[in-house]
Amino acid sequence: MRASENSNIHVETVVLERTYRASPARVFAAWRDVEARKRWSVPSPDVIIVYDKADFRVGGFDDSRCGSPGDLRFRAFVLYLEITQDRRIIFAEHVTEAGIARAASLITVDLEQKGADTLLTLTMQISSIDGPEMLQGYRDGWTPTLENLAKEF
Amino acid sequence: MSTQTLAKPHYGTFTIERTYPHSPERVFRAFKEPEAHFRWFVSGEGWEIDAYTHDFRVGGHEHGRFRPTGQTFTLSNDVRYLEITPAKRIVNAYTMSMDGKPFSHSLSIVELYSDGKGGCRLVYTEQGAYYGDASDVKNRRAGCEELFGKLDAELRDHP
Repeated sequence: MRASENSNIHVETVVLERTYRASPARVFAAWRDVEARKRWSVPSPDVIIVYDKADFRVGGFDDSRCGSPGDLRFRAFVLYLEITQDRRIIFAEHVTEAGIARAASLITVDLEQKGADTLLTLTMQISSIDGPEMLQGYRDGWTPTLENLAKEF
Repeated sequence: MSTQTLAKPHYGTFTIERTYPHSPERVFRAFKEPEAHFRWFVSGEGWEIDAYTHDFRVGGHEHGRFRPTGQTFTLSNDVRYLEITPAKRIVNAYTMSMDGKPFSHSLSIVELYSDGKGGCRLVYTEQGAYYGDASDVKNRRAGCEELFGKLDAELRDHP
């Protein structure tokens, strides 16, 4: 929905869940480790992600670009706000496409032990800038990405 | 690793709109200029300001620490800028803490629009994770509304 009738921001909170056959410590490590993220945090095999900067700590920033090889049109600026080892990560993200601001979001990753498995809950509070397209963009991106993460275990 | 229960935050979203009889460029300056920003955003009656830094740039970090007069607890606000498009949009993420312990994380977007009559319409959107109780979002909205009222006085009193 629009943030207000006078705004071009569209807001939505999207919650996705998936269970992984791995301990919370292993799932957390896959989020923390940049080499692992390069493997799983892209929505399809045609997409690559390059990290120009990675700094996984509270107050640290990641600066990455992704897209088809030769056309890394999406840039994501990620700021880590909260990191609780093996339990929770909260970060803010700002996305530009070809230099144009497209979205900002507040994302919480919760990891809950369920026996030998981990239930991951991804809560994404999304502001799509200048139109609602990025709301679906986040769903379209993160749903296959959470599937990819399962291949790490 | 610890299996103790980790408190779950409430998630909330709110939007505030104000119209000011000043151009978007003028309103933007009140965010960008350190003295102006300090007057309307930081200083206030009933508060002691222990520390404040202004760092208005993408990747910049502003840290403010303050106490209600007569109280012993300290509040702090850590702001980090994600996007600054002059006279148009400011995006930041901010964390509020009490005695060093975070109690909320928020994504904050300020949009500035010309109202076609020489004035500016400001739209503020916040999406946050709040660790208190059910009244957090309402209280945060009220706090922000107060700030945008102070911005009105700043623009009027310091042309």
